[in-house]
Amino acid sequence: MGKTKINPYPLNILIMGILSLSFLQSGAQILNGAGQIHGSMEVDAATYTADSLIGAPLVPEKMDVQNFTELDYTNGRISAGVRYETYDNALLGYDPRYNGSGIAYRYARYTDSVVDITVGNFYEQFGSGMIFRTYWSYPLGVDNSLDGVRLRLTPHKGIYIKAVTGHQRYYWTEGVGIVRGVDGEINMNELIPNWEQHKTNVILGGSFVSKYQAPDNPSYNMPANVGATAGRINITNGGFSFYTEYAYKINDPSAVNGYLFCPGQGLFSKATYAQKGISLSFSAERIQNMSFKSDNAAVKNDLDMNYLPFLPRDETYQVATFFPYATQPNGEEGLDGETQFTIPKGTLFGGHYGTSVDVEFSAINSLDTTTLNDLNTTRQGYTSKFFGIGQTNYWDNLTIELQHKFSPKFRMIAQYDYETYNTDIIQDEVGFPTIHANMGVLDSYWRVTESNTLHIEAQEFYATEYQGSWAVGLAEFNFGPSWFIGALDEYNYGNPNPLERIHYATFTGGYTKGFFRITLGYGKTRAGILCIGGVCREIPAADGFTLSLTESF
Amino acid sequence: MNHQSYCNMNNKQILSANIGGIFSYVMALAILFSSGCDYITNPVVTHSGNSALPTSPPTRVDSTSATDDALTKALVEDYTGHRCENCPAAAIQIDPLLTGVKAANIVLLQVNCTLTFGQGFPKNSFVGLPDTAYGIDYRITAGNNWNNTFINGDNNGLPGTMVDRLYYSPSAGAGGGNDLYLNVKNVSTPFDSLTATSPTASIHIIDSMWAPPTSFLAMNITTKLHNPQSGNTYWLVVCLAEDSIYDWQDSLNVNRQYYLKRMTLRKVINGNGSGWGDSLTHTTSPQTKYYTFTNDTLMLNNSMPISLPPKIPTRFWNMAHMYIVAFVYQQTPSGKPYDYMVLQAQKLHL
Repeated sequence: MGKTKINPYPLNILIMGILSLSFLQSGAQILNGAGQIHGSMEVDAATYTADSLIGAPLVPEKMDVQNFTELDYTNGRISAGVRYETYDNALLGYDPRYNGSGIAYRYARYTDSVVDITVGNFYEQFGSGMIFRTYWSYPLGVDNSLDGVRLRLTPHKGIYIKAVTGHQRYYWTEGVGIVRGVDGEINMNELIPNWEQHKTNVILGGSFVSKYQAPDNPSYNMPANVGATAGRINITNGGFSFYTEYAYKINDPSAVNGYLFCPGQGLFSKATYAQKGISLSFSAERIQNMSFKSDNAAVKNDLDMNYLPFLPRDETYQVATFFPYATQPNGEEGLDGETQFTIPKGTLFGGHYGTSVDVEFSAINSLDTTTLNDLNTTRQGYTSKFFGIGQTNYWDNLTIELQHKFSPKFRMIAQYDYETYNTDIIQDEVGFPTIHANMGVLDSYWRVTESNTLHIEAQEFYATEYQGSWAVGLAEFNFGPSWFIGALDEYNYGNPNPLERIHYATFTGGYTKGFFRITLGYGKTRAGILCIGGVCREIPAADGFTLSLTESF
Repeated sequence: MNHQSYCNMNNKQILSANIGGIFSYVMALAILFSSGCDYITNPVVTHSGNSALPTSPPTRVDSTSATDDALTKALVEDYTGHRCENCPAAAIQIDPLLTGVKAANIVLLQVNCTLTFGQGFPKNSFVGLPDTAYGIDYRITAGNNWNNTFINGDNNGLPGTMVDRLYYSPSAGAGGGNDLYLNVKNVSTPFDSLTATSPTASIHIIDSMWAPPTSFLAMNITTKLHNPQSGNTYWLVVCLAEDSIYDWQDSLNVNRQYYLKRMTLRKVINGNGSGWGDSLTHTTSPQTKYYTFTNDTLMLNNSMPISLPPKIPTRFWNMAHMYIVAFVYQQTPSGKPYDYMVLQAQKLHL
């Protein structure tokens, strides 16, 4: 899958040279007439002890350390930057193909009012990202940056054009596929002068993305060029907003879709309304065969060229993240509705400060499909009704959250969640039960003094399937005001196997000042799945110390 | 058209002035779409017999040597299951043959079978063990068919061991008659005896391997029957076996997580995977059969599936430990004890 080394050295040397000169000149963030340097870094380390009870594996090197450091230099219209990454070795759960060190990202950029050109690595998104989005997510271990050229043009006020070409990052190499795309956006209110005063704002957009990969599959006549196109419209009027995007992708047989040659389609719509004290939001999506990778043999999160819309809320409480939803690129359709409002202060439920209420419901089902017997001929695989709803439920979630401030020093959040989680579909398992879970959270913040804060959470996860029920307790104390200590315990008290009714206890302590933060932890980590926006990675069980250090300047 | 000139137009004029630009943009997208897409109407590569070879040269080509082809090689089959507590004892009996003076004469296949001993168990099936213990199901159709015919481990229990599928108890019913364990014979006894004779057939294997992402394996198997008997039919079976798998094994009621499994049967390539192979022509002339194997999912050893935890075992084939195993057997109208007897076996490391 890999092709060339990601670091073409001349560009690295040029960029490193610019950055080095800037440091030599001043050694400060703001350089006298020589631009500005900004950066950030993070170091994460973990020690590992094998623990057969929780399934923590034996890690031969006993400790892993990984780090990234970003430096960005800006001087007028010129900017350049690098990101250096080290994985010695990659932490458990990250792909071991990251092991090693090197410059993983470097770019140089020129910007003026009409032209914005980037050479090297860059991240870009067309519309909602359904046919093109490159991004970096350090927690997920995903980096699909494009290495090539990006051109952004503003030929006229209200007209925005982007064009990109390059290869994607594939760990320490690059993917074999060539990615190229163009996106245009017209802001009608900016384009037509007399419309600037209109309350209704209309933005139209359209994009086209294509990938090239030399066909090399002995069993199928693979398309060398696979294209996808999308159109979108965004209308806003006061507190009302409506966005919709439709995407279409031609035959793109891949390891993800089982080498089916059917086209892909995606539709995402979102309407929101907000005014003082209340907001409403409604989203719908339909995804069919929309995995789009620059290498048709890639699986998992490798070499994704796009990002599919994600309906459910990004949960923050521990129990609500036990079974997170992962977007199903081969097919799903879903709805999501949310309302947020405030019960006025001075009322029975509003109390002295008012009560914020957030209610959200989302449901995702399979496509309504009819299987075709054509795997030896046209390999379309199935037909589906565009507006039909499949019978298989993938996911349901109801969340009700109340936030209430009892006094200037004390506030609480109460949350109830109900979740239906189809394990076989979401985790690609066979014969596992669908999980029906009821969850409750009580979260409290007490500002004991001006510099001391106590944060306590009590959480319950009730289910009868799989590992059964859990209780989670969290206590954090901030003092000093830069120091903090905390303890978290996840107790699987309802596990049907009495020997696996385990406490996963973690203790943390740390120091924060400005953008600097250091955290030391010790304890057991439960095996699970981390998902951000529907993109997931496995978190293996672990037992040991962790150290995290972050800094920005 | 510059921005200033817009100011002197009304909305209608501005719209009509821009309609050309918008139309041009839509047209450009349409041109890009048509030029940047390859529509495929005939997805499946058609060929006669086997898959067409990739157009690129193979990553590696290897073959068995003439010296090796001339040896008499016995097929030793170890019918086993990870929940079979006595099976490690049978494997231990075979171990000396793999390293002994006749190591070049043994072709081993460990065949996982039976529901009781070989099934992949759901998570959390075993108290006190990690939830994935014994989760892998190594059984395949061919192994099940062989077990039902030769060993009948579901009724007779496991382990079951055979050398060249000879029957030691011709009166025994289906299964059991050629199981060395049931007939209280040490595996080395028939092995030494059979490999002391001259070969009655020879097998020469040439394999061509294309590394991922092509992930293609092609093989030419040339078989020569030295003395085909009238009335007998002869069959060639070609399969893949993975050596050195470390996984759970019940050994006398001790759960061993890193038990070494040798030459585990993974896939039968020919005969539609049934295990009964393809028929050979009744001739003493060399006859070559060409087979291919490609399965992108199976050969992506370093790739995990998109969702986790992975389905096992297919995701974790280690092609670096994989062997092509081929053997020739006969069917005789006279039945036991030589019906299904293996005449020659051969293996080649990928």
